[in-house]
Amino acid sequence: MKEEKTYLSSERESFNHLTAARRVERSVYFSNNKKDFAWMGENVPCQTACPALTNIPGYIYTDYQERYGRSYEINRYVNILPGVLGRICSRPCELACRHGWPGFGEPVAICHLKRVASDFKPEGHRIEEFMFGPSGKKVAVVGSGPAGLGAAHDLAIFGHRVTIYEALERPGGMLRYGIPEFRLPRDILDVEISNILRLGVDLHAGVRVGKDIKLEELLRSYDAVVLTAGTYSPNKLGIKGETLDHVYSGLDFMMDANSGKDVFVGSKVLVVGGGYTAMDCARTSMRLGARRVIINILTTEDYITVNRDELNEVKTENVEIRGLVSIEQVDRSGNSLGVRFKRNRLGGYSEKGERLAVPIKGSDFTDDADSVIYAVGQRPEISFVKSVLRLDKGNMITYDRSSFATDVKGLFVAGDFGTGASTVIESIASGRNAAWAIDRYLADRTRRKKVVRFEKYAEKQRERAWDFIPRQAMPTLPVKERVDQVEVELGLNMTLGKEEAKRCYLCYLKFEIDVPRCIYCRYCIDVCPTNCIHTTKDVITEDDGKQRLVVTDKWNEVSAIVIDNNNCIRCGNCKKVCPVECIDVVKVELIEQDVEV
Amino acid sequence: MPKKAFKYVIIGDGHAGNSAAKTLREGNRDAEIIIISSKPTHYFDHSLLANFLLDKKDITSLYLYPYTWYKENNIRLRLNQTVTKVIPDKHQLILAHNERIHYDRLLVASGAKPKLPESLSRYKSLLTVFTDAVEALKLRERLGKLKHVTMVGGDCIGLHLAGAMLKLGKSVTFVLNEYNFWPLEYDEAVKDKLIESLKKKHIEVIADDITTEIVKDGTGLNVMTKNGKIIKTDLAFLTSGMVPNIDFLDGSGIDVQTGILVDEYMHTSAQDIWAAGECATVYYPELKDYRQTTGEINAKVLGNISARNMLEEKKVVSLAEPGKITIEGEDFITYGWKGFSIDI
Repeated sequence: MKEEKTYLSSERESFNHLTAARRVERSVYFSNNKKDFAWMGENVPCQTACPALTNIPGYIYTDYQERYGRSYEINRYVNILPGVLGRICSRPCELACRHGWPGFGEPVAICHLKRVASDFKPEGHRIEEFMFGPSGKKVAVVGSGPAGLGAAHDLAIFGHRVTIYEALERPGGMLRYGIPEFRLPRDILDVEISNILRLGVDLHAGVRVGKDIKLEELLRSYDAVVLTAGTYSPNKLGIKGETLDHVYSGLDFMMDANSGKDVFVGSKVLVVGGGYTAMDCARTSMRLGARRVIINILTTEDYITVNRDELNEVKTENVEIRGLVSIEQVDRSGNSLGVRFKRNRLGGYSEKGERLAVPIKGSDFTDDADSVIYAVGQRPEISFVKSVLRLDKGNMITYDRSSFATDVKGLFVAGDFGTGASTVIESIASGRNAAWAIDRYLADRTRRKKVVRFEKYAEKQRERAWDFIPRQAMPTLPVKERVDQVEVELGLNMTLGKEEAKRCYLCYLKFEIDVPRCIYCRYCIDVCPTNCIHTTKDVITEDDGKQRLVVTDKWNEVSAIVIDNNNCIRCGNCKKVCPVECIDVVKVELIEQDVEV
Repeated sequence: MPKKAFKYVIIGDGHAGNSAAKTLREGNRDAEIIIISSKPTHYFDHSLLANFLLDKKDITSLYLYPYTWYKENNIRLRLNQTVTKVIPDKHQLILAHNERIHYDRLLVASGAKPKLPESLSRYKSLLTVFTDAVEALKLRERLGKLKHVTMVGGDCIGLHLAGAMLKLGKSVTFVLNEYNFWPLEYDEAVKDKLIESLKKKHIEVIADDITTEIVKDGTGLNVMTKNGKIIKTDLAFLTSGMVPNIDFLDGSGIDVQTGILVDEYMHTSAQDIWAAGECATVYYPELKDYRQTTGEINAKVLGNISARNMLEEKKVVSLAEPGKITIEGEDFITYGWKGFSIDI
């Protein structure tokens, strides 16, 4: 049977025709220049938007190459829990994805492709860790949520002896006790946590710092202590009826439900709040037997933090969303609850950029419910550190945001415990960054740094036709089968995954015209679909390292034809038509590198 | 009363837009009034569209106003021109051919478009919509070749169209489920009544099932459902309800919640911009609630109220009289439609 000629096989074929010398030639260059960091920041928007700075084009391209193990590892270098995040990440990358910019279509399903790597990595896939030698230092990590796991992982890599103290029975924090299993299967979580513990990290679960062991004692016994105890104190509504039976905070509700406790919801549930916890509470209520669940949000769907896919699943499960309402009070009315609301108008924006809601006078209305769940945010539970640490006006711990250090020598803070509730990926990044800062404190020097890596590519890696592939939908369980904790999202299969991976523009590829070789024929300008190639007078480098083109249409002023990579979709049309082959493709990646003494 | 030289621009040439244009002209004889529409034909009665298939009448028979009416009233009609962007800060619109139009006061009355369920988005090119005169003309030309049609969903347009198709001797299949039945609530009572009524008319009804795939089969189509049913058909109509046609407002900063959010004076969140008709989500003080309105009656009322507010009359919106849909002799209340019977 004749083998189908794919893009990849033809790529390999062309490689095989090269001489041995050309085959081993690999031109790689590392840079610390701020201009190159600025290029990365501006031109790879997904990676820049990711708090952990995941090399997204890198892992998507390896997904496309069906090198799933490699793709998983590219993820793991920085975000340590790819199987988890491939399911529940809040996806700031997708909001920034160039494919989602006006006129370019929908963003790439970056998160789903992370899961593809996790789902299809080979059985017995080898985890890559690059361990430093033992440092002889001991570090205690308080809390085993995403920030604690991130910190523990990197501290162990740095060669420190790490012990995690977890107040609850099992590790994972909000990943285990906040997120429902139908979104995050526990076997995936367990495997990825065990990969961290296998680095020699000790876990003391069921030990509450402040009660079972004093913080002062940890400070005496360890060279450093990092507090990553999350946010376990739910925000209150401050309204009448908040403490009535069957009125729950979202946090308590989810923790009880996820711990397997018997939680009453009744037939009709009103959920208040517009975040992921509110969505989880609503979907969990449906699984606990509620027949009607209404999520009440202050503003509109446009201004809530959950992504479109999640909102779609919520609605698919017949949960209703009621926008522009404020809860006023809850009363007991016989066996049910009477909940008074006001309608809202959209107002201006808060200092944080959140959209405000303004109640409409005289618009009160009452709805009844069997239970009410309010999920309006949560805060750190700080009682056990009050005696040791300084608090700010907002009752949050005072610490240095860059060094993660508190006023107490050897005591650090990371993740939501310091900043207040954030996302899983932000917490992991915060935990890892804190680990680097702690290592600097313990080793008294910087042992890891970020650099920009350049590698010249002979090919353009992708086809223009791939720009028109629609975003591949995530297959999900039919609503009727969504019972108990069966996972709802089924994952893209290899075919869908590969199709989706093709959509990525691979923004880490830098297309550059080599000016001395350019003959100014302008063919590239003619075939460019985004008008990103310009005749320019000058290229100015700003103080922050960003480059600005001074465009001109007067031929006597033109000094070069330049590709504005920020508007380039890496289609390769220009490279294809260039008669003198003066357009180079370079892969630019942000990587972590050891710093020798 | 606003200044004489005001320039009112209306996006949309439906009931709301025309009702507003008429009111604006009555209220200000000297103002410049422009209606911009992406459609090539002007204002007509949508409820006549299905019956248009049955007779040989000219398309002009559908028009509610002759072209001369616009001339007489000094209303400039710009047909076949699509608004791609609204820039409230500059009081400007941008059309698809890059022309910029200034307005002093703007009414968005861009109506609604057929709702395409996400699962069917890849089959868009195989689905036929039936919402304007051009689509009706095209369909009338093809009628002779059609033996069987399928309605994907059960909205009012689909029910109207099915009635016409039956009269033309075509056989009809409906694929219905709770997500694409509109504008009535799909409760068991309505569902049973509707299915009974349709079946009596020899219409095949596939209930509680979802269209999952549509593939070409020679000159026809195979419509496949989740439960494994394959319907061999000549044409598949998208009749799963409507959604506000407001994509061109992306990036304008105008607040939306399904439709464009307007207060009780039909004013949007942007200065000097009002919205009316099926594209608007209106706050009704008498309901203490927002409502997405549908149908001709609401559109006319809302267009009129918007115009009066654009003329600075401070008119608060009120609910239009509800209509009714009669199925098997039983009336079901619906808001915004004049009312019709499927007891054909």
